[in-house]
Amino acid sequence: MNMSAFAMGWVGVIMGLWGSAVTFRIPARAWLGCILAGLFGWEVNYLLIQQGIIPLYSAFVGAIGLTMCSEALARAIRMPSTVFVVPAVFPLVPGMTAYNAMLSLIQGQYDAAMTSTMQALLIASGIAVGMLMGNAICRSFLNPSLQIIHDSLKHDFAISIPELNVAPQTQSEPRCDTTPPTPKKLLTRRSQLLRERRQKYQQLHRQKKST
Amino acid sequence: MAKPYSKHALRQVANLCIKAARVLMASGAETARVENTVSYIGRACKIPVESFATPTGITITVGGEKTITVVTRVKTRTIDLDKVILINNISRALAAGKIPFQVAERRVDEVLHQKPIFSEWLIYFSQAVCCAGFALIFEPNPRLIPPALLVGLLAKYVEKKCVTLPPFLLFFINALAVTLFANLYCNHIFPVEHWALVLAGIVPLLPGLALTNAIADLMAGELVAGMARTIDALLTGAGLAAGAAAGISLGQIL
Repeated sequence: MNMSAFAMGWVGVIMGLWGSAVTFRIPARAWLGCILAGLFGWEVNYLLIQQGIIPLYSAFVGAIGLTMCSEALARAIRMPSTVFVVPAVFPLVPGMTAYNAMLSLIQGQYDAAMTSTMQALLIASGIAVGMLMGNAICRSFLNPSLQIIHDSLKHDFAISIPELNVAPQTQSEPRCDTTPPTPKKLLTRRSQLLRERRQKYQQLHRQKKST
Repeated sequence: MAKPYSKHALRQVANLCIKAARVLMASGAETARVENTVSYIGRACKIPVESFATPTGITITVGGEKTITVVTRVKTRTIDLDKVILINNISRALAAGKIPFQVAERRVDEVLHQKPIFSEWLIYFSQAVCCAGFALIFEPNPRLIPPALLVGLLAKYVEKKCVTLPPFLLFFINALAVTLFANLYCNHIFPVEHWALVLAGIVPLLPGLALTNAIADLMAGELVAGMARTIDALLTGAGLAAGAAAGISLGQIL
């Protein structure tokens, strides 16, 4: 393994990840997490390619590792995991294959273009499926969310079909209504009179209705 | 029979929900997060809330028997993950009972009107550094760093100038500019790897967030939003590819 190229790759990944983190407006306390997740994914990908594994599988495994890493970081730093995944994916992008595909397409070598396009698309979908898998694995192992799902189902059910909801519901007054905002304009005397009269009539009407 | 909620309370809750959802959607959160946030707010206020969010518009219905429905359109979508984090934290704190409703309202307003966290210059600088880093990933050659920094500045400048154009055209022009610049540099100033320079300029523009969000949405069962975001990402990618192809063939002719 060429050591200087390896070090250059590390420097490149760190620079690229920091740059894209700032471009996506990720706050400074998550930069280290982004760089860690990205380095992990890229490193897995690079080492697997060095071992002679085809790029599709290495990108897939790299994406799984990166997603799991960022899910763990998200739970540690208490941020959405998207914050870490989005910059970290960039080093895995099959840039060279896509460039070759375009070049062959322009030069009219359609079979080479098709091969390269297929390869780039497969690597891209490998990354996507890897992210999916990592997400699913983390969702099912890292937080035991059965209780949460159950609760939310109960909640949703109570909303959609209130008649079927047999359990006694204790709906208290909403918390936001405890202190009503002060009226902006003081009522004039005439409008106050009008309002009182209206309320009286309404009360009378209600009494009539009930009796 | 449950006691009906006062109209004022419903309006207040609907207002907060729509503000939070709109900020989230406009700054690049996934749909599942938007809907979760809305339901968290509803749960915190003990009012049933239903929401339907797509990348281009959000509908929220608040209330049990008498309801208020609010619809909002989301026309401009930028990437601002800082706002997503802030709103997310506010809604979680509200649901956990750590802050009262009024405080949450005030904080959402603050997020709505706050200045961007990074200055314009830092964004330009970071884009340049990002491009230089990707150039090094693709080809470990330190001579690529100066042109890659220039390519990053150029890409950001074009993006700022053409922000009103439709996204496909914007990315087409951006990729075209990057490729032509790379061609100019390689042929007339200093011979470096043309492909690495082009890729360094284009890779940071790739729709990474859109694709990640699309996958997250499809995982969460949001089929409409997931498909919409996938198409968005594909369109952006197609624009970039077309721009780069046009640039390369123009460079071969010139």
